[in-house]
Amino acid sequence: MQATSNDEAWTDADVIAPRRRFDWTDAVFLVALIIGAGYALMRGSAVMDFYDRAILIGAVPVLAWLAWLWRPLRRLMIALACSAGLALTLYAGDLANADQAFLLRYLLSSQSAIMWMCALFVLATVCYWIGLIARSDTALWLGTSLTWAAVFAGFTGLLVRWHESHLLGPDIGYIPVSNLYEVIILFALVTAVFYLYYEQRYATRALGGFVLLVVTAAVGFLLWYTFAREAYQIMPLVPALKSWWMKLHVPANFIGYGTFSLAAMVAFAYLVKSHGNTRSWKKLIPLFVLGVLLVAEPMVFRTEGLSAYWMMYFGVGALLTGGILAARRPLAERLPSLEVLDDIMYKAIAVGFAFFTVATILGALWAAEAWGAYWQWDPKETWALIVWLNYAAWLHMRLVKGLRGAIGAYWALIGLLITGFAFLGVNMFLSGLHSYGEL
Amino acid sequence: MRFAISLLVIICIASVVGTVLPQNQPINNYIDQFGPFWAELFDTLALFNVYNAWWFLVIMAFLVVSTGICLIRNAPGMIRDARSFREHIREGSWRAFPHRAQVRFSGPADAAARRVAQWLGQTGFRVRVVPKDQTVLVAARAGGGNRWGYIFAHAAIVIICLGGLLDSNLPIRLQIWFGGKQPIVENMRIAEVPPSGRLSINNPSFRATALLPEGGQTANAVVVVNDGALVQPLPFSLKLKDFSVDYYSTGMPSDFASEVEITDRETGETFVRTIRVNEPLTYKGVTVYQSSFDDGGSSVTVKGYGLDGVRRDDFILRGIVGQTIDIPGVNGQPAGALTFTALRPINVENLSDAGAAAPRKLGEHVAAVTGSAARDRSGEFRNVGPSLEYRLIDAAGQATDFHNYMLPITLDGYPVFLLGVRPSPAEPYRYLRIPADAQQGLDEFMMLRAALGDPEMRARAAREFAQRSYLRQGGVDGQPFSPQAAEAMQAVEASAQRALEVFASEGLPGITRFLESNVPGDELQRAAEVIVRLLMGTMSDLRAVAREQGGLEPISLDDPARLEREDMWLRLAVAALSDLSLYPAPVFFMLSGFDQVEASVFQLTRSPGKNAVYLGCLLLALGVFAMFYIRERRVWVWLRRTGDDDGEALMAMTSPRRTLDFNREFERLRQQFEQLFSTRDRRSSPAKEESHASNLER
Repeated sequence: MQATSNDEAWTDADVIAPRRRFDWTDAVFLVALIIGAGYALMRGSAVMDFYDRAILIGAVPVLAWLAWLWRPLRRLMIALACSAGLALTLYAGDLANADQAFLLRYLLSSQSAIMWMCALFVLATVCYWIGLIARSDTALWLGTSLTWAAVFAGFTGLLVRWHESHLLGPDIGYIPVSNLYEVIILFALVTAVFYLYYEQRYATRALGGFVLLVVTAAVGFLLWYTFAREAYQIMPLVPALKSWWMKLHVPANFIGYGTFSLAAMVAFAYLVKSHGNTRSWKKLIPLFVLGVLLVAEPMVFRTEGLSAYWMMYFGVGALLTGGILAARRPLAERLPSLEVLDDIMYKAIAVGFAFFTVATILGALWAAEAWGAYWQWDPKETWALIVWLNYAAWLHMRLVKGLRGAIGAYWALIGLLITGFAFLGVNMFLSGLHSYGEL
Repeated sequence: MRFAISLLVIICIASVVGTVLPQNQPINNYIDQFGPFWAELFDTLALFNVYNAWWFLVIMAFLVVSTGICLIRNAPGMIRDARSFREHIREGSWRAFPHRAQVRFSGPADAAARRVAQWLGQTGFRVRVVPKDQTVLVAARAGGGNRWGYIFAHAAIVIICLGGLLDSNLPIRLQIWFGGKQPIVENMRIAEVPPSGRLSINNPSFRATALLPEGGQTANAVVVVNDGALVQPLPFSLKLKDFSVDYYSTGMPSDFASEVEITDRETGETFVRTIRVNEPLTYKGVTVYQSSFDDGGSSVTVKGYGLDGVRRDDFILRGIVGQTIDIPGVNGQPAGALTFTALRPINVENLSDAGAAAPRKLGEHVAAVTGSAARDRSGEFRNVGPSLEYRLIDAAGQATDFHNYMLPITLDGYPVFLLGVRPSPAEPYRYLRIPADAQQGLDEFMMLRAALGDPEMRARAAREFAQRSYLRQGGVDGQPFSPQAAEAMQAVEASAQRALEVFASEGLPGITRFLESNVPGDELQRAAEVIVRLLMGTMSDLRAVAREQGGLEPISLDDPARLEREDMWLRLAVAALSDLSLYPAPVFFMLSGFDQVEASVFQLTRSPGKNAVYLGCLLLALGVFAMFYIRERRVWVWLRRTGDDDGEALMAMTSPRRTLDFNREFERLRQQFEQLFSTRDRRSSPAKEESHASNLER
């Protein structure tokens, strides 16, 4: 039998090798998780009801399984435990320490960490593109490292934010996935983590620039939201959201949104590669228009006029799209094969669809508890159904009819438009039970 | 299949339309928005109630039935196929497989077959060894769960739709069509509702609401159907003992809780429970949810301030929220109708200075958004006190909404009373600011308003202004006036009086109009400045006159801080008086007292289909994961003796999904397969050499 226990240098041939065995390091990690969960139970049992505790206990085997499934996640979790633990210790129960303690002020307090995440994502995107265009392995490696650093910073920020919300008041603490600000961060992080996973599995860094485009777009939106609307401030939850369901429904949804966006960016890369030798740029027009539409989508959701920031965002986005299409020939040479791109698209949409199904079901169950009806054709619910049907159709076409190739890629890109509307547009434009209000 | 897809697309489009067009609103709103033609067209297409439209439901029913039929037709075959090992594949078709391998082995075919079977079993396949005439076939399969996934997922869709149908308003509609029930359209008390308007207490499926004021009790709930309602008797009686709202320090509500007492109708048992937003109560198959809250008939006392004519005695009215009372008019005729629409005892507003921040350096900007996300915002939000919303319908039938805050609020440095007006519910409120006087009340303002409306007092004010301006210009008090001075003074007095007149009837816009029509363009700016100064000065005198008449002390000139505040008061009062000229009512009412009674709105449901839907959800989740992550693969190995001691093994592998993963798995299996018999080190080389070597070995 061949040796397949080291999942660092997985080559093409042994991707579906049997999983490595559960060894002593996994056992130690499991024990550490159990200790951590036990400590959290003791400290927090006053504010947790039966279901909160069940979720906490259930998180232990899930995290242990994730760590076994993909070892880098284990390292990430250990690092996060250290950073969040350090932040907790430095806070020592007093929010004012955020301005006193050096590490808190510049690195570990939630907003500082999140600003670092934003900067690191942007840097990573730049490095990936330099690496792709200049064929520099160092730059690509830098891109990966910076993405990992950004993921670490972002999750640190969210964990510390969770703690800060508890420090703000006895009944105010909540998991930071409740409003648009927090979920944009979650979205960026989930997309990046899935990208890093596929990057390792398929042993290619060429897609980093593409996938991080959507992450950078999210970061751009986040920065605007932070500076122009001061949306980062922790607001206590409205009564309808004070429920353990939020801990399950929202993250599952964002696994869906993140992977759908990743698939769309890979689809974009697919189309760039498949058009690598296309001379006539009339054939590229649909792709360009689609790209520009995607860039414009967040802007459409603003209710006031367009500020300079958004004009610039649109301009940069349109330029980037056009630039990528103009450079399609050299890019096509550097991208992995169409078959690999197609496979990643399928995998991402499959996992996204599965979790999106679960998330929609959880949403219905939560609605039944909170409002007495598991389905009310609320705009958010309806659009979730439409997104679900869209990707169900995509998967049907692929699995039953064998649809591959450019049509599937275009469809995945259009799917992102629909997903974007379901994610943002419904909350902005259409009133209903999920309304965030105006931006 | 294509038909089903077009139907699905229609459902999607219809659903999208349903999210964009507000659903289930009164038809007038749509006529306002779209005009009569389009509104009627959309109504015929049932676009205003899309999800219950007959064609929508028919399409959904069709899709469910078609999925069900597809499932029934295909499932048995799928299960059979999943279980079978496809032993009947002929060896001859081996060459047709794109994923194949071959290897030589020595020894009896049976032993080799057992080795193959063991290897495949260890790899995770289910194996069956089938001896045939000349060969032994080892047939293996894995991932049969994939087919079950398909069956689960599609069955789940059917189950969920059927369960949802049971919980929809279809059972109610059936009772209306076939059960002789008729929704009530007029207003009537529950006790007066005839049996045709009442549903059975054993109604298996309903969604109803009940509004209970504190202390109220009910054994019935109301099911809304189209434009009417039906009464749904409950198997228990529900009493609201207390409704409470908890608030955060920011003033936002943190919890809604209703303490209810349930009395079983049959046994008479009672118990008390608290119902919260995410914590419903279930009893006897009926689940009670905290849906929202409302006013339960709070009593309010208001003081009316008349705005027309000279000062009228303020009058006091009492009423209950939701009630309409007549406003007593001058001759005993009602001057209009007053409806108390809403009472809000707590209004938390953000009064911090928005915008107008000094430009900051980039570093400061960044520093401002770093650090902890927990800003204590409790200082920015303040409860500004109770407010009352009411509607006035005048003699002509015109309705206008008003929103007045009970207490003065400090805005831009001075406490003002906010009086909100909106001509129609579609528009937002616009607020008029009346400054609070030294006693934090409206009395001095109303005095000033009355004085402004009184020609005699205006004349007197104008005269005093003229005299003071003469004195200011150097005239000496007591000396007789020179003819020029007298003339100048008279001119000033006339201007002042005229200004006051225009201002009294039309406010500042009136002054503007007056200027525009009487002053040439290039002198407009200067004339405006002069007039404004004239007006302010005259108003100051008018105020003094009003104060004197009203028995208030004149404002002393000693205290500069006080003077500044009084100055501000006057400026705000002038602005308010100008706005008042546009106020669409002859009276406004200020809340002077209230006794709040809250009401809780409950949603009560009996959902027989809920368990079916939950089962369907579970099947759907399991099915979807199974379809993606259980991959179906099959392997066949034919082992045939080709000589005395050796033979040839042919392997073929297939999967319904030939992906990269499958290719890699095949590669791995092929390598293992080729090394399976490697102890004998047999490769697919020319047979003679092999047998030669083996003979030599022997």
